[in-house]
Amino acid sequence: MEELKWQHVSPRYVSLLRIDKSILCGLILIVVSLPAILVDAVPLWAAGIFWGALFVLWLILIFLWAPRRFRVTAFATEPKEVHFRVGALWYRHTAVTHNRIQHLEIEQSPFERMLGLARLIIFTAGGSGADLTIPGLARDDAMALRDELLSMIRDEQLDEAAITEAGPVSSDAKSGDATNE
Amino acid sequence: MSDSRQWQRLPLLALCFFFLSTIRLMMKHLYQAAPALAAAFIAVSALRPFIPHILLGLLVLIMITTVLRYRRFFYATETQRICVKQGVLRKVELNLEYDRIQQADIARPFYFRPFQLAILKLQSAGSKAQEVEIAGLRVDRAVAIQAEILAEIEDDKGAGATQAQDSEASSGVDFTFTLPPSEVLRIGLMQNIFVVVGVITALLFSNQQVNARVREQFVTFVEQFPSTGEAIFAIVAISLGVLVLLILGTIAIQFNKYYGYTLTRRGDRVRYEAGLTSTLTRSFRVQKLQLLDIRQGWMGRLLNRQQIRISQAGNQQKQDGKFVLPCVSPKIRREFNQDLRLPQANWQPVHWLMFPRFVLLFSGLGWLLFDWRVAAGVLVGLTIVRWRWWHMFAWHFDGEWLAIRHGFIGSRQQWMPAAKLQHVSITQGPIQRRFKLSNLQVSTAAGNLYLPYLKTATAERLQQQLLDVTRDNYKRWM
Repeated sequence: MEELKWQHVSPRYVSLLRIDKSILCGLILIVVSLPAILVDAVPLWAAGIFWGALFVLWLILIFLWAPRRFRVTAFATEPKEVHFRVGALWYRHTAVTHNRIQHLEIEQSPFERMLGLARLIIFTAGGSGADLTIPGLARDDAMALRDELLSMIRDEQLDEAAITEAGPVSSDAKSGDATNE
Repeated sequence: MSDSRQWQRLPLLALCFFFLSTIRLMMKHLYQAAPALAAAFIAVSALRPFIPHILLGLLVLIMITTVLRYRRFFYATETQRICVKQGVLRKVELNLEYDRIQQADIARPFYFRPFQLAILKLQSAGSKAQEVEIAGLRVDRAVAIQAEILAEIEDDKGAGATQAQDSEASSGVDFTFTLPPSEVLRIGLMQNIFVVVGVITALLFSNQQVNARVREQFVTFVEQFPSTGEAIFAIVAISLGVLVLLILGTIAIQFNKYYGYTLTRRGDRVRYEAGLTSTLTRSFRVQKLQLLDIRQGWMGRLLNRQQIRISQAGNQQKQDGKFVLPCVSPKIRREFNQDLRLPQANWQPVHWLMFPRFVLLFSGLGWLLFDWRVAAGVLVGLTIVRWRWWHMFAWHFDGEWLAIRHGFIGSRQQWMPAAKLQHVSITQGPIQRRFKLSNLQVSTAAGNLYLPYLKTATAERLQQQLLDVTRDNYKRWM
C-alpha cells in the first residue's frame, strides 16, 4: 500500500477545539452547580470536589487533548480518493472514492466563522447523515477542495454496464471485469 | 401558479384502501400508547361505561380522515416519472424518477381482487427512502407502469418500453422456482414465535397497574384448584395451548402471504409473486442489489431451510418491504448462488481477542454489585456466549464479494458486491492498538458490514483492496 500524503488541518483548529470544550465545560458547570447552590441537602464540599475535577478536566482538554487532537486530525486527497483520520486514543481512518460521492457541503458555525474555518462534509449513499467530515479547514482551502472534488465528479463518465449481474458469465462481462484485477 | 400536469384521481373503491390504511396508522400510534391505555382502562373504572362512545368517536374520526385522504390524493404519470400529490394537513408533492426506483410492487388485496384493481408500491432510493403507494389502479395499468419502470434498462439498450412489456410474456425465463405448499408451510414454522411471546409478556408487565391486575387474576385462577399441582398442570397446559395456537396462527398467516411463491428472473428483472387471499408481485433489477442477507434461525436449522432478503439502496429500515426468498432449500440455494454468481465462501476467522471482550468487565460488575458467585456465573455464561459468537464470526473477500457470517444458534450471512462500497473506515481502540488489531466498517447503500478484530495489517490491506475495486469502477451501481 502506497503511503498516503497526510495534510494537517489549519492550526486555528486548536483554538476552535478549545472554545468548544470550554463551552461544554461551562454548560456542565452551570447544570450541575445549580442544584449544589439551590438545594441545601447537597454539601458544599461535594460541590467543591466536582468543581475541582471539572477544572482539571478543562485543563486537560485545553492543554493536552486539543493540541493532540489537532496533530492526529489529517486528510489526504489521492487522485480518486479522499481519506480522513482522527483520534489519538480511538483512531478512525475513513476513505471515500470520488465515484461514490453524492454531494458536498461546507458548514460554518459562528465560532468557525470567527476563526475563518469551515467543515467540508462529503455525503455518499451509505449510512445516514454525513459520511466523511473534514473539520478545521481554512475556509478558502475548504472551498478549493470542494471545487476540486466537484469538478472531478462532474467529469465522471458512467459505464452502461452494471456491477451486479445474474446468469452465466458472458464474454463481454468478463472483459469488463478487468478493473477487479 | 399553473399546473400543466394531468392529475388523476383514484377510483372510488380506493376508499377501502384509505380506510384500512388509516386504521393501520391509528393502530400503529395506539400500539405505542398501549401500556398507558391499558393502565387507564384498568385504573380509571369511570371510563369503562364510555368505551362504546370512545370507539364510535374513533370510527367517525377514521371515516372523516379516510374521505379527506382520498379526496386529496392525485397522481400523474409522465415519461420516465410518476408524480403524487397527497396529504390532508401537510400537503406533499412527490416526483419519482423511474431511474431512482429501487423496487416496484403490485399488491392485490382481497378487497380489490374481484374488481381487477391493484395497489402499486414504489420504493425510491433516497436519504428518506420514500415509498409511494397508488391504490385502486386497474391491474393492467399497474402492470404497465411496473413494466415501464423495470424496462428502463431495456430502453438503454435500444428497445422501447412497450416492446419490453410485450416481451414479458414471450421471452424465456432465465431462472425460476416455485415453492410447493409443503415448503410454504415451513415459512411460518421458521418465524421466531418467541418474539411474539416476548412482546405479549412485556405488555403484561409493562407497568404496575397492569402487572397488579394480572397477578390478581392469576391468584384467583390458582385458587380455583384443589391443589397447587393441579393448578400448575392447568397453567402449563394452557400455556402450551396458547403457544400451539400462536404457532398455527403464524403458519396460517405466512401460508396466506407466500402461497404459490414463484420467483422468476428474465434478464435483469427479478420478480416474485405470492399470496392466497391477497397477492403481491414484487420486482427489482439485479443491478440495484446492494446487500444480501441470508438468515437461518434455530428452527430453520432444524428444517434445513434458509431465508434470503435482498436490499436495494435506501430501504434498509423496512423489513416488510424487502425482496425476500422466504424458504430456501439447499438445492435452491445452490442454484440461486450460481445464478447470482455468488462464489463459494472462503471464511476467514477474526482474532481470538474478540471473544473475551465484555466478559471481564461484566463479571467485575457482577462482583461489585452482587457477590463472587454472580461474577463466576457471568464469567462462565458470557465466556460460552462470546466464544460461540467468536467461533461463528467469519469474513470472506474474493475481489468481487465481501461477506460476513455471524450468529449464535442460527447463523446470518451478509454479502455485498465489493465495488458498491460507499465508504470504508478503520477504527482502533487503545487496547486493540497494543495487540495490533483494528475493526473495519464497510458502508453500502443498504447498510453496513462490520468486521471487528482483524489484524491491523489485514484491515489496512482489505481497505485498500476494497478501494481498489471501487475507485475505477464506473459501472452502474444502483
